Amino acid sequence: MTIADWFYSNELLFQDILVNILVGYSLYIVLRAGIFSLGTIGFYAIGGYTTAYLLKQGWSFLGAASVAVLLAAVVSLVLSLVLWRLRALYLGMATIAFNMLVQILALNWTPVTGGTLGIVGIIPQVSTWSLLALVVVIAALFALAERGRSRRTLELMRVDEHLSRGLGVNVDLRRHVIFVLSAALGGLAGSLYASLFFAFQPANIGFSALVSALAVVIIGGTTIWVGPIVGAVIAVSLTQVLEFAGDWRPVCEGLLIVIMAVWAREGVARLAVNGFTWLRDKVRAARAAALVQEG
Amino acid sequence: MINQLVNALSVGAIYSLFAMGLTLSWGVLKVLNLAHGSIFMLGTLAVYLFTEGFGSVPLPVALLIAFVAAGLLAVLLEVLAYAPIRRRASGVVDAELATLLASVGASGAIVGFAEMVTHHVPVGLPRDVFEIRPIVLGGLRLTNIQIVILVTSLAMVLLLAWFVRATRVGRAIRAVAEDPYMASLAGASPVRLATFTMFVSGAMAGVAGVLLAVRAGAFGATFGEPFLLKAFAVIILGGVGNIWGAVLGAFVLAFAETIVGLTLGGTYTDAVAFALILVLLLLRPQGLLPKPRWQRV
Repeated sequence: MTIADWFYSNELLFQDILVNILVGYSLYIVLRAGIFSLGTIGFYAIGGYTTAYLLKQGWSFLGAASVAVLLAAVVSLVLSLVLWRLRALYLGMATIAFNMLVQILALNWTPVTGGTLGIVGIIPQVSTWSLLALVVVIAALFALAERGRSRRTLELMRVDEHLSRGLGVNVDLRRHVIFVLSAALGGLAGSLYASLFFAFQPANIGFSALVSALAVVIIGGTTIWVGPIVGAVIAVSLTQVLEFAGDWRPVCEGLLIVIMAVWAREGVARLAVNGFTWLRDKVRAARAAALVQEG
Repeated sequence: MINQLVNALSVGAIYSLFAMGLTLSWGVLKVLNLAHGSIFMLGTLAVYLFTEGFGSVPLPVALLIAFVAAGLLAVLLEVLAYAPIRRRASGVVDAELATLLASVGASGAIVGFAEMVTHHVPVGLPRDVFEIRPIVLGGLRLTNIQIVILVTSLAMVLLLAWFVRATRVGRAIRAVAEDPYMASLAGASPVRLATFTMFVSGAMAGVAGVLLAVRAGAFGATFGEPFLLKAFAVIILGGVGNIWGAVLGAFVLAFAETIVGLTLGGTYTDAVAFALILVLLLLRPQGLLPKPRWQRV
């Protein structure tokens, strides 16, 4: 079997991973900056339903996706302005309430959203290669944001908001920008999901969707830019492995989040980096010791 | 009209039992327990499994089973997840985020387990757990379950309020809510009190779940989820950690939903909770019955 065969026989899996990477980045960007927003799924829903609806109306993918992402961004800007005073658990609660409101809307606004059935029979329009290119570009932007001044600002905002204010960081503006970017990424992920997997349904945006999205960031970690990539690869592969377990899958997924939250908050990616650094330092120390012995 | 307002009373009573546990764990332990909806459901599931195995039980026994099962599940979460997270976290905010994430995972696991047990379909408790009968009081048409719900909820809430206010353990809980470290210097054990608080929080949700399942005739794995949104609104209305605030908030929400349902139609009732959350967060984030910070719980 050539690499191409292997690729095409697993294409759906790759698409799933790529979309999950975007969902992961949507959560990563807020958690990285210390903002307790779990609104990603709500914006994912807005992006997905808008795209699905417009594609059914005969729009092209680019047009539909642009409108979808823009809509998610506008809604998030309004929400961000309304919620700008909230911090910590209050913000977490308000954003989860927002997710639930979007879900209620999706279930009840039947003429547009298709109610409990959702929107089905969408013709896929995005190739895996263009999706891959998009994800690479976005990941590269995140890698760039983790350098120099911008990295220090993010770290400072996460660790101590008041201190960063004192040091002249425009925290309010940055929080708004990050919130809107997170929503745009969530909307984009939903938009891509709708145009890749034929349907967009209430089951895609329920509480279990939030569990899956959190699995991605918490496995990967929220302090290192490769986190969402590592998280999405592991989370999606794991669902494949757990396919045989059938009904046990949600149980395993949920327990994994709990275990990671308790014992490995840094995430797998950070642990791997730390492990590598530790090993390198050990080797260097051993070499230095050997040199001292010789000398 | 009047019948629906009476109905709102029993809905409000269930909201208050549900929200009480959530506001308690948030106020005392700084845990926003998103698994609360699944704990609410699991109490009823425990009763269902018990009746499947050993035959039907009367309602008081069912309530007791749910009380214990849901309470123990909440304790399990506290001991296995939330307490270790609090021990290992670098600060209060860090612990809050980690427990929030863990509670989402726990909820997913519990609901997944319930889906498996119930084979993804709603199930009902045996009919002879409690037989619903209509009662006519003057012009009012009630059912006996509505009265049971109201009486049970009020009794539990009063008991909790008395307990937290007047007993030694209650005072210790209030001290831990204020400052765990200072409370421990004064001889209270934050770890044991946290476990106890979580038990009470879960147990009240468990009782609420059975009452709702009996009233509605059926329950499913996800039937606790819509209640989270309502409980958020209740907590914001009453103020975090405020017992009487939660009771007031629960009845305000229930009546607001009933009135909106009567005037605008049923599809809008679910949006009431969200609208209340937004408006209150904007205008009155301290809740309807504000207390100074040192009086939380």
